[in-house]
Amino acid sequence: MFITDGGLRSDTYGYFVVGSGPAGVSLALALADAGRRVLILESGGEDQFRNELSNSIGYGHFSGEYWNLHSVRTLGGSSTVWSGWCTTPRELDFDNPSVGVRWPIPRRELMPYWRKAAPLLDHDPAFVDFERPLVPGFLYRPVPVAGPTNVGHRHLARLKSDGGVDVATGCSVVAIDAAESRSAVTGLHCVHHASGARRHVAIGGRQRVVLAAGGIGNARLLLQPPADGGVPIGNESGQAGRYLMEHPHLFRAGECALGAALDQYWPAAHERRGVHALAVDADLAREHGLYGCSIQCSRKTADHPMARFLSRETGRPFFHYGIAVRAEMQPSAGNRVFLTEERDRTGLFRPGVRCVLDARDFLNVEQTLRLLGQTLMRLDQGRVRVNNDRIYKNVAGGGHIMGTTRMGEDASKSVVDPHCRVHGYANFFVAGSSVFPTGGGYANPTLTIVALALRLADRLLGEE
Amino acid sequence: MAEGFSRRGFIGAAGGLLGAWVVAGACRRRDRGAPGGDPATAGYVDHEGWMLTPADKQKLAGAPPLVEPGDAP
Repeated sequence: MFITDGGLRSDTYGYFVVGSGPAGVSLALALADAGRRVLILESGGEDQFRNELSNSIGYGHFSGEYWNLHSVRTLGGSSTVWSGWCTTPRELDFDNPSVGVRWPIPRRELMPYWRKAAPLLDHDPAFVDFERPLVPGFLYRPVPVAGPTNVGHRHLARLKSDGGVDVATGCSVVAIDAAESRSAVTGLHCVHHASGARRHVAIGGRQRVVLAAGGIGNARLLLQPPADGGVPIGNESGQAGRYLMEHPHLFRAGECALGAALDQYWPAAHERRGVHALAVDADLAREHGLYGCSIQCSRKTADHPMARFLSRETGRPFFHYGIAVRAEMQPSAGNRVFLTEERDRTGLFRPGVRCVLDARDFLNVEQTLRLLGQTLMRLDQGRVRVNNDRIYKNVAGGGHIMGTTRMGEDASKSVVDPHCRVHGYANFFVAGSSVFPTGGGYANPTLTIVALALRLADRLLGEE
Repeated sequence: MAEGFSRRGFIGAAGGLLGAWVVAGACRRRDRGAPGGDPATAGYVDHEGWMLTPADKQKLAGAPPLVEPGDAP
């Protein structure tokens, strides 16, 4: 049911979810499926964006406008600007010495949740983890594409019915109360935009609050100073906002001519439902200190001088592809969401976002491409062209805002524990890519966001 | 010659081993690269950004540009 007049009754619900993006909606529906009552608090409306509230100031490789584009306040959250790509992080991505930070949960723990998450995003669970050996050291690992699914609109009928989930639209959470002991959240302060009314939602000991307001929104709420000027609620570790990561996107980073048509590895029934991509295998990555880098090959043609040259020389068919790269970046405490001096009209301090890629992030891409080139040449299976300028001077992002409330076992170095509970709090949790301790390799985060939300739902139900 | 082991087979096997040794040696040399070189850029020659063998480059001398439209060599 939609609550549009700002009237909130806190005693009705067992769970309060801040944000209606992929994490918030998936979590709320999973809880409602188990018979629980959930209230989602959403700043925007069904089709109304409220982006002026999330406006950031950008520092480093990406502008404020860039972050604003991907920090969306409306029903469906970031899924309204999602491209529909889904893939899983690999085993090495959970504990890669070259990245230096490991996930506190093993990959196998997420596998059943990825399978459950895929259909919610209109993906086939059989293909989100698809890979085949290509040449020694490299895997064919396509990125499946579907939808893109706006999770808000996909479940709109259920959200509007009396299906266990209510959605308070046009309602922003602007402050959080906690017990003096900092062991539980005791209230949420909300602003109803249409009326301007401020509401206080009391949270009892058996009720749970989950922040699912996106990589910037989650950190921003945990950074807001409380009325007494003390340490912000949920940021006792001082780590909120830090370790922001993106997936560097390097379009036209190169091109290649390959002796094997990549579409032979992808089921014919899935034609046009994936992006051909190659990745180094774990052994080669370890040997060369590499991390996530997806070499995505498109625009296949045999009508290219290099393809024709190799076909002529070898007597075998060759195909030319353009290469785009989507890669991982090193987590760094200096890359972060922080508060500027400026306040928005709800009184919240406006966020600044600093994201500076490391030299290693660029070298990782160049070396991966050159290793592919060396391997293909040695095997006489193809040639690679590396476009230096496109790698080093044309970096873009994917709108993947990760790491700002990172998950970890050590409460002094992370914001949430391995179960996504804010360290020290009995009833306060975070959902979304902000809990990722690394970028998860190059994997687009939406599938893992939903998987972690479903895992959190199981945890919350199990704790009752 | 022992039964089941022909002279031709022996010469073939020896030739194969010699060939493998030569190829492996060439690969090792290529991996090392030039003295003072960068391992990531070893084992090939550059042609408009393409990573090619010296033979490729020789054969492509004078050929039209091999880059995608819009990308400067």
